[in-house]
Amino acid sequence: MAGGQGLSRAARAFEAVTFPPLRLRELPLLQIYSALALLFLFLPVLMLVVLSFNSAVTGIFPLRGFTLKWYDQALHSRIIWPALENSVIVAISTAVVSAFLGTPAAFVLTRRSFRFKNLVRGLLLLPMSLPTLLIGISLLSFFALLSVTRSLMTVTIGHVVYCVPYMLLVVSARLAEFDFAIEEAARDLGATPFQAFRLITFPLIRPTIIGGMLLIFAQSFDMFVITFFNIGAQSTLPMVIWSMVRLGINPTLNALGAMVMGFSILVLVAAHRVGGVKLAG
Amino acid sequence: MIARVAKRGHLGPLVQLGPLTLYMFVFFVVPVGIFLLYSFWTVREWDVVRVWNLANYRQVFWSPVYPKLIVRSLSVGAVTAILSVVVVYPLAYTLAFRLEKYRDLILFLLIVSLFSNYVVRIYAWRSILSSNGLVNYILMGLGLAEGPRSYLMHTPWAVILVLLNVYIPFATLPIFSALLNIESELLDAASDLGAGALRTFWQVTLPLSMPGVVAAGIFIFLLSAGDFVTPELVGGINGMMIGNAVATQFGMVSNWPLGAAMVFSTILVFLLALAALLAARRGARLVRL
Repeated sequence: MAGGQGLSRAARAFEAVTFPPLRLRELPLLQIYSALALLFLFLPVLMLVVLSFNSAVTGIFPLRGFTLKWYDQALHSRIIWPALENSVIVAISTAVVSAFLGTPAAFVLTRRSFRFKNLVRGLLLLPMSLPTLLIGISLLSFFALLSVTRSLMTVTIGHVVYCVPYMLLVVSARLAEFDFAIEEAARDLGATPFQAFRLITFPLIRPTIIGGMLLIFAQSFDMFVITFFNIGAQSTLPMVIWSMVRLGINPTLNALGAMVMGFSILVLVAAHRVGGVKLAG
Repeated sequence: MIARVAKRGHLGPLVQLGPLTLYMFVFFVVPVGIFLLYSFWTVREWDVVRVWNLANYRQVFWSPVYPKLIVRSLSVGAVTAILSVVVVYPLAYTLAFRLEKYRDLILFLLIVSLFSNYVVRIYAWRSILSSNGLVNYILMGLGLAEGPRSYLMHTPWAVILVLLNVYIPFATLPIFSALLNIESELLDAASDLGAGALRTFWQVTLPLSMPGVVAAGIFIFLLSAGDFVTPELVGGINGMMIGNAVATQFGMVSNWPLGAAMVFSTILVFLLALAALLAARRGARLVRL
């Protein structure tokens, strides 16, 4: 009864619509283009997810049937768990160190002006636009010259070099729209500069800092090239993936890759939810 | 009292900015400097010996292989950079001026892509491009290809395609920022003065967004020319780049000074090419005048 009413209402609504002639100029060409560009961007990821459920042992086309076997195999592989642990240790250390180094620096770079400011800012942001190969092998030569044994520590040092610029960008973007008048109000009411920061400014930017740390966690967790050159006997997840990738297409690797992607996306969703993390705009 | 405040005002920034600057100096600037020194040293019996010479550079430039790899890397970088900004511009434009409703979502998707595992994404391209991959599978389904053939992988074009894909977010964000910073009054003024949509775009929007385009282009050029994972996984021998040769010197072959010389030779060739280009432009301008 209700369904019939709904249907007839829909039919009436449909009749009421007049279809204008389709004109090329009115087609949302830009929107269609953007959708296609995003499809291209995510094509490899979609491919990986589809193939990770494909039961063919070749790990590639044709699609034979649905299976969770490869996920089971990936989760029962012995090498991935210690590597995962190392990756998490490095990623957490990188996020913490980057936050401690990057946040105060972002305050100075957004609020003060001083001589050589552009030079310093340029230096601090430079690593993000350089090939990670250069950063990785430079650090390797540096550690070798000083006879520093390679370990998770040297890996973390390298990750911080590459990740800190993102912390600067994220915190600076927040501070650019921050109303510092409320901090001044706290000072006028008798707060010391430290109190004003601790009680007023910091609580307001804390979500941004946590968001930035999650972003850097995700970045460090996935970082391969710098790790590759600076790691010792241990292994991280991207290193395990690299050793499998070089052997060719493999269904277990499809599942492992899909899980790693899924994990990164979860961390980034959290970063977005907590801090509304922005890099542009 | 005043003196104390002034002093704190002076010291505070140093305490806040100092640690990071020092960190970057010690673990970034100094290592790159040391890496440069390595290129003038030599290897004897698997050990780096600090004997100053130019033999590594001679070996790079006189070799039949390395100059070719250097030229290919710089070309792949340039082509990828130009294609990237062209392909990405309409996306950045749409993001800045249309689709306000979905802007946050799309920016988030770009960030997801920027930070999700790069080795995995390049690996996934193999299942698209290889002989049993998606493209061939579709072609075979349409009866356009007879059997599994591998003509897509192992070329410089495969490398460019994958780099283009990987660096889309890196290219989009600077252009998007530049477009967003254009004051809407300027665009209104253009249309008030009678400029149509296309003319406004060519004479106002595009020139004003050029700083973002140039930044994106330089970004993509540097990252692409120095990449070694992509050529390793989809390039094959024909798509091999200087990064692969460098990585080999730091891996199996273990001739670090030669690897360092390759890196700085590439930078040198790039700077010379850039200088030649600028000189040619200036020359052309002089002749016209």
